[in-house]
Amino acid sequence: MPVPRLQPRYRASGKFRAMLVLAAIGLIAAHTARAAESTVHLRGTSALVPIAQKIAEAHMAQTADAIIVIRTADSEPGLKSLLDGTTDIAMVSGDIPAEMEKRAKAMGLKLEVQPVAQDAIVPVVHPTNPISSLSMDQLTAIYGGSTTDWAEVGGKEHEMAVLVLPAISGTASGWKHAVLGDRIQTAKAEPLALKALKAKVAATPDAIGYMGLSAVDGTVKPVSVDGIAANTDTIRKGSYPIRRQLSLVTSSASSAAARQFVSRFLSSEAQAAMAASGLVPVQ
Amino acid sequence: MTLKRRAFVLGAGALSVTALGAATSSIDWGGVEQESLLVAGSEEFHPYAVKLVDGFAQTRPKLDVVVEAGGTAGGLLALKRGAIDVALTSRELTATEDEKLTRAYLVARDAIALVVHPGNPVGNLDRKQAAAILRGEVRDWGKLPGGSAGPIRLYRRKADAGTQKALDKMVLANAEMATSAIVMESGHAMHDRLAADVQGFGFLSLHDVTPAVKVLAIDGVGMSRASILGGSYPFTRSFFCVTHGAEKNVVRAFLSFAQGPQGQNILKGAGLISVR
Repeated sequence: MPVPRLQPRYRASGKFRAMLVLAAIGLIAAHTARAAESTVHLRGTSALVPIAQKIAEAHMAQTADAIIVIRTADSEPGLKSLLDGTTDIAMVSGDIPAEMEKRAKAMGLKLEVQPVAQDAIVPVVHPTNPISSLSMDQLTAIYGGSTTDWAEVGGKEHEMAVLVLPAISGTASGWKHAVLGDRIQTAKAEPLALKALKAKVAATPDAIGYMGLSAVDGTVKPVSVDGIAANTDTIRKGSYPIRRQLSLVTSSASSAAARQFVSRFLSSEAQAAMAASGLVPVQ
Repeated sequence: MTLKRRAFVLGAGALSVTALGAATSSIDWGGVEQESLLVAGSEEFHPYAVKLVDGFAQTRPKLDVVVEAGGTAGGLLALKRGAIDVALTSRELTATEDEKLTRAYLVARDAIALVVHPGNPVGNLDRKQAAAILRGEVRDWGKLPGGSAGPIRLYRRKADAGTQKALDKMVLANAEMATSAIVMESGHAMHDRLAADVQGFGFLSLHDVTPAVKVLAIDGVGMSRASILGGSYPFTRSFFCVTHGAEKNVVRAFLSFAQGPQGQNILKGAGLISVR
């Protein structure tokens, strides 16, 4: 960690007596330790932000000096922040990118992954688009670039506007893995952040994009895959084919407070809240 | 010398940044051990950063510090060229700004409260309604859920006030506020007027809020320390100290100070929400 938030010499019990001798320093140190122990910062996937906010805000309402900060980002920046010491917990959609595993290893850190929920990744189109189901092969052809017109999949003749999430998004890598495998994504795909992607699909009759099921709302139309609509039931059964795991990631250097906060996501209340928001709990 | 360096950092534009690279290497410290800390960036964060750096400088008498505004983009550019040590931002970095060696340390949060008289029956607005009132498109309380008919009297701050700028960005998305708005000289003046005007609609920084005024919930979320730290309250902003690459000792010490109890108390005293 580049900047120690806690100065280890004050934390080590062996130095505790020195602290008592230097009363002034001791007071400051004790204060630092107390403040830091009840402080946890989380950063990462927007798929977990609403649930993290619920848990954090309930916790802060109960515990006066607790500080839980939530920052929305893509999965990879969340992991980057975990590794460079600017956050305590990374919220991650899908697998840990190899690059991040490598970086952690180089730093002598072990990443600890706690799955907390499952979510579906759903193709979405404009609400007026007549298409309501696509096969996996059709999606592969659309995202690989060999199908470019809606007429080829039974829609009205018009060129498709193919939208994707940015590469640093865990949802994007989950989608690529399931839909494209080793194939290369069409160069025509326009990368947009989730909010912008949703707005563009909602405003563009020829657009196709994708997002986590928990992000789908009335402004876009979800499309079934191989005839199976994404819902908590089909995710749990495993029949809906494009799923991703949502996890909280800490490292071997993480604080006890961070680990404790992770365990709050596994409580029955938290898991029930996840189910209510369209995620599938792990327990 | 300090003046010369200050001149180089000012503006933090590409030209001055390049010039600074040359300037620092030519500084003759005369054998005296001297540390320097150059900080620049966000206009919104700047007034708070000045207090933070002043507090830090008191713990390091030999420290030579310069804190300039110059804007977030200029600050980040200067940081990545090695012209400054810490860039200030009042928002998350974009994917392109957040490079492999870039670290963004969150040091504080802040929020804008939309405020009415305690006797006003309106208790909640959505973001669009809030912006529509401020733009002058909704002018009667009766047009709002729970409101009783009567003209909305709109209050504002001067264009260069920090709270006004924060409102322009967060609530208005840089659209113009209605010209009919009455200008208040300070947060206190705004607070006192809203406590007295049942038709009034205005806004306050979190630290100017008291029970004498009513803070509206936005999208159903009330403004509180918990909803600001958790981030569910929408008119929230974050202040970051950003570094790039290896952090020299004085920079690490500054970041520890900013995130530690002394720095956090300074920021809290200035009206922000501490994050540690």
